[in-house]
Amino acid sequence: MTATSPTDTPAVDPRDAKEALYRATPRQLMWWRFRRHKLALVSLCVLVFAYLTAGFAEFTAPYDPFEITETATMRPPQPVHLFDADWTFQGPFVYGLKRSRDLETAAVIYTEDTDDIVPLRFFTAGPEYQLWGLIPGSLHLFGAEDPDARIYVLGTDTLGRDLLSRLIHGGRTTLTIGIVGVAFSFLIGITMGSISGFYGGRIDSAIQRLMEFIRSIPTIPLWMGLAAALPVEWDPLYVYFLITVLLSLINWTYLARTVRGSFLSLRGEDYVLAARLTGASESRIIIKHMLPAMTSYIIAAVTLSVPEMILGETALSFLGLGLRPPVVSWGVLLQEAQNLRVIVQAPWLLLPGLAIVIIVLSFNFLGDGLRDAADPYGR
Amino acid sequence: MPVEPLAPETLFSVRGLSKHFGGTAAGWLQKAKPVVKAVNDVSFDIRKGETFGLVGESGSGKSTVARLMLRAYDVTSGSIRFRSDDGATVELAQATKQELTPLRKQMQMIFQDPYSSLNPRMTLLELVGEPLLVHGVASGSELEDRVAELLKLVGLRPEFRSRYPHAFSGGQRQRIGIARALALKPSFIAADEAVSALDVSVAAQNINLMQDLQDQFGLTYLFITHDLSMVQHISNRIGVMYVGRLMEVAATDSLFQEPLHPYTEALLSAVPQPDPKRNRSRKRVALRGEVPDASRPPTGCAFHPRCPYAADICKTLEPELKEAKPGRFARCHFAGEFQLTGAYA
Repeated sequence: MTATSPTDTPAVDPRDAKEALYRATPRQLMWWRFRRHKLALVSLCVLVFAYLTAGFAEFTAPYDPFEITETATMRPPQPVHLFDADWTFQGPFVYGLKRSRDLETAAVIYTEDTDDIVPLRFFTAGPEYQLWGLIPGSLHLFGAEDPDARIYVLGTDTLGRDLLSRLIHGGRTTLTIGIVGVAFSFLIGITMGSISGFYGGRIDSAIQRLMEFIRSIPTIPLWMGLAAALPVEWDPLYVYFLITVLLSLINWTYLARTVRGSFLSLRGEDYVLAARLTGASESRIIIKHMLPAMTSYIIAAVTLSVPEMILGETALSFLGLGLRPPVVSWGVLLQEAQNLRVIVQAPWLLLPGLAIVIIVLSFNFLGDGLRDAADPYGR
Repeated sequence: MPVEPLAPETLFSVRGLSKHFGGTAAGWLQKAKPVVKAVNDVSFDIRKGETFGLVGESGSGKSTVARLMLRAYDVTSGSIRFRSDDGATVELAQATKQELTPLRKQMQMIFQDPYSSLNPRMTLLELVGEPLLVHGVASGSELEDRVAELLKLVGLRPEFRSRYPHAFSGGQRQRIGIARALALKPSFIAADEAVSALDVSVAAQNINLMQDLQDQFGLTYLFITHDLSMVQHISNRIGVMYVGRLMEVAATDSLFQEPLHPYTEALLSAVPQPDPKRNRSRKRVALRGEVPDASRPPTGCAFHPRCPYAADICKTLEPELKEAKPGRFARCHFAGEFQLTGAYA
């Protein structure tokens, strides 16, 4: 064995692309890996779009979601066109609908009137609103150029309310219930999970058994029981809050398991032992070595548990146990569409179901992408 | 409790060291775990400035011995005396956390896995500088200078300090681990299979680096490996472990020349010989059976079911580690009575 000088590596240029990779922080590396996951990137865009739309619901929705128009019940969607029947460019517009009655059944029939062109404009004045109940305004993202004309891009429901506006306002409820609920379960889950993983032994066993007990309770009867216990005269906001707490009381077990698992696996890591052998304190080991390694996994796990919450809310509301009208949520909208007449005569009222599918899939793809990107040794 | 002082040339003195894992009775919430006697009545000394090699198959408890000496685990029984830098003898086996913290500066460890032993989320500055920061030795720009110095010492460029470990190969990562171990200027370093994960040329480079550092700083090494030719190359003395027991302790040359324990003989006969002629004519001791489970060791001598020389007494009575010849210890009833074949035969 001859001693070779190990110092013969080339000089370091900080501007070099390779050197940039070597100096990349774990967060940068995660973002680079995440970026390669096209589906997750698209999902992220979809979610950002959905949350922005729902966040500024008063501005993005063309009308008040509660406004009833007797003369416009169950109107079919009016698709947006750019070219008229003669293929001349008109800018975005919809055709007006003619309302008539079937002479035999007396049912209302809407027919598209290709002569009646209703032009659309961005940033039009429309019905007055108060953004987040605070800022008054009347500007809407889009609407008919003529302030007296009414357009229903996704049609109307049985009471003549604009479905698009209801969908956007319902999205605000449904999408935030996911986040708020996960925040709750995150709080419980991370506390219980770290206690369990850190102390181990008897405490760990007890918490694990408790979690198994909670998971073994059939959810629907439990929800039914708890929902029945909520007084009917309560403010819908309270109900909303309680529903979230209810959902997270079951959901936290999944997060706790993730946290406990990463605590246990990290405790056995050599670098944690190395830190302990240098004399680092327990708190330094947790803060500097264990928590940073866990955050990315926790973010992924949280993302993957949001759709559970959304689906839970939808299921509860659909069964009539969760949110009740006048609160709008996607579950409430679906519950209103829960009869044969709707499916036959107004199938567009099932669109909130499509919205749920898109959001749930996006969250799942995003969570997958994050989980892959979080693995420090992943390709 | 007064600690019996060590002889001046001794750095570590381990006596009757045992570590048992598990052994919990069945409760309502968990099943019973059998006692695993990972380390059983191990005694040896490490002299100042020497390299003590600890060899054995995987599962023989050699890593556990090192981790007990550094007090990564609590000791079940036995004593570990250590000569502190100020010349005082300290008993590590029963030391509390507070007592251990200042002593941690004097003993460090190099890990087997160069990947899992470096936190992937820290730069080299944070990794190598952590011991200095924890013990309040240096901070700020002084810390940066010290880290740069340490990196240079192990043959890495000081500019690398803003890189993350993923930028380095296994051999380089191992050197980062060496730099971290050296940061506090320890007197003792336990190298747990420190080069087993590396390919031969890189391993040789790192071994040479470790030997240079030993000369430069007067370090004492505990070198744990399953590679006998490696241990022959670098160790002054060797301990052979089998199922948590120390079977033989001797100076490297005499152990390789003339083993006193049948297990050592079997291990040595498995070392490849560079000379094919001698390799063919050599006596091979093929061991029967498997390494016993540490939770259910055989009665008597742990090695007797596989020992070609086993007699009746071996099945019932466990031999003690005794000084069979001057400076040579073996845990065998018949130590010194057989003519066993060494590696040079």
